[in-house]
Amino acid sequence: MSGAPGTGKSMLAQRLPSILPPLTPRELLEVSMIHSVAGALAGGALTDRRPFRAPHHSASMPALVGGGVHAKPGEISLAHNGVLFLDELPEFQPQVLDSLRQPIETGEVAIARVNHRVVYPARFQLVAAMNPCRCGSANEPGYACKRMPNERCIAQYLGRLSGPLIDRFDLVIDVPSVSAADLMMPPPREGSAEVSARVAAARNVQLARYAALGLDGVTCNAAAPASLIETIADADDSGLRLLRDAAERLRLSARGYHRVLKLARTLADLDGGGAVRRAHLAEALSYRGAPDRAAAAA
Amino acid sequence: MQAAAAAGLDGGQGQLIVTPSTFRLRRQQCSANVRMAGKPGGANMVARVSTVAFEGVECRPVDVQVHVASGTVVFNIVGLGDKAVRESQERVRSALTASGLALPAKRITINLAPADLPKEGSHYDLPIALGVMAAIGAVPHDALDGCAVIGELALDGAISAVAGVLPAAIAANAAGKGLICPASCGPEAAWASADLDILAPRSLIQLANHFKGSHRRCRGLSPPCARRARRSRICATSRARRAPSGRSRSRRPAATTSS
Repeated sequence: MSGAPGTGKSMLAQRLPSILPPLTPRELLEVSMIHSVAGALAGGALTDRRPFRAPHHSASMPALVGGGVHAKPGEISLAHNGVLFLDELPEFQPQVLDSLRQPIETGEVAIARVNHRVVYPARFQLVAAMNPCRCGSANEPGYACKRMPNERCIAQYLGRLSGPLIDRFDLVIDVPSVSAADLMMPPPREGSAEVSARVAAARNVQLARYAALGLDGVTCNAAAPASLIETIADADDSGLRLLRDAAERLRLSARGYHRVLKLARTLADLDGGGAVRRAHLAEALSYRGAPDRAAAAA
Repeated sequence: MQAAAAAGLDGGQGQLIVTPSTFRLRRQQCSANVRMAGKPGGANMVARVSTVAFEGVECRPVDVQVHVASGTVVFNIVGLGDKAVRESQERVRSALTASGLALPAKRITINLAPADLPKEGSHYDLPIALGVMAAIGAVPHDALDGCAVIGELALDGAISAVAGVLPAAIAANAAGKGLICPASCGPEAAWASADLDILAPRSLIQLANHFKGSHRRCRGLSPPCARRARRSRICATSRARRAPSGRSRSRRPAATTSS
């Protein structure tokens, strides 16, 4: 999520667990085991709400990934089956951010020390918020960054993020500023409870699909193996044409291609679980983010 | 042997009985006693208590072996323990003293097996203390069979909360054992299984009295756990332990003060 200061990026991220489905008993056990080992289970009370971890951007690599003298679980393991929220993403140390790349793919983190070799599960949903540039408001109409042209300011700030990390983000959203007039409008009709019901319905569709395919342990599209994605996200002809054109234009990586397919599948599931159509693929591609941004960051 | 009997030694079985008035045993009595200590007819003088070591969220079984022998008066803990494990001897010593026991003036060796697995954390305090108590006869030898033990000791003999009780409870359940854990961790352990036998004492004295049978700590769990206790039959094994085979109640050691 990229946007000017005060547009509600952090607030949006903090509300995310409220629309996620509750933990299944199996997930609850995994989450509780990690929290128990970390000594974070106060009073023995378990909750089926998904964990939400928001470490400060001064976090070190052992704090985030796990490790230290006792090879304790880090923030990414404590966020297992939940949300890891990194506010002010470019302010994190680049090395710390790049250490997340492997756990994002594998869903677990192996910590190897002289005395220990420990594997912690770490299948988390990464949510990050950032300003478009150091000044904060480069994308605002009529705003001029102080010392340099807006484009250079944006490119410099984005340069702190590595291209491979940005390639792993499925959804890149520009959060527009909220004006006072917007705040005075009546609140939207759809609250967290309604959205939560829609998410739960989509998850049930996915759960039934992977159960029918006999895949144990896969409960959502994100965890599905790449070999399967092309069959379950089989788009129509016009959709495939769009995807082929867009993949060339956006210079999608193989991972990016599969992630677009997964995202389109999820969007179709939110629509009721029918076939993936051209509109779903177009929407998924629109979330990929502009190619020049990835190029500038690389 | 008269002196030994006066000091609370059960001559025939070689059981060391420790009462507050007699916890300072004279040297020769100790050595005379140690030759006879252990199970009747056997030369086994090593008390064993099982506990766990954590490897990530996995648990590895660890055997705490306590050997009490005559010789230089030392208290050694071997088996690749970290600083917290090394320091546990001071906590164990103070907690036993506070509970009306004292470490006998003998050579006490504690081995955390397997000895090549690094152990870390403060949860070895309670198994070490219980192993020592079993070795000197303050709790029955067979009281701790089929039980995994985990907990940290305060200097006054209270048992403090530790991390990782849930994985330990799951591991104990998988191995078909019960679990002794701190009182404040009882609710956490109760999530592992409805059939797991959990004993969650607040202090070393409570635990010793429970084994002695004078004051059972079966339901003495914190309220949320007590609610679950209806389903989880907490302490079923400990009830069974109260009637050990082949040993009459009169010979049970008067373990600790009955405070």
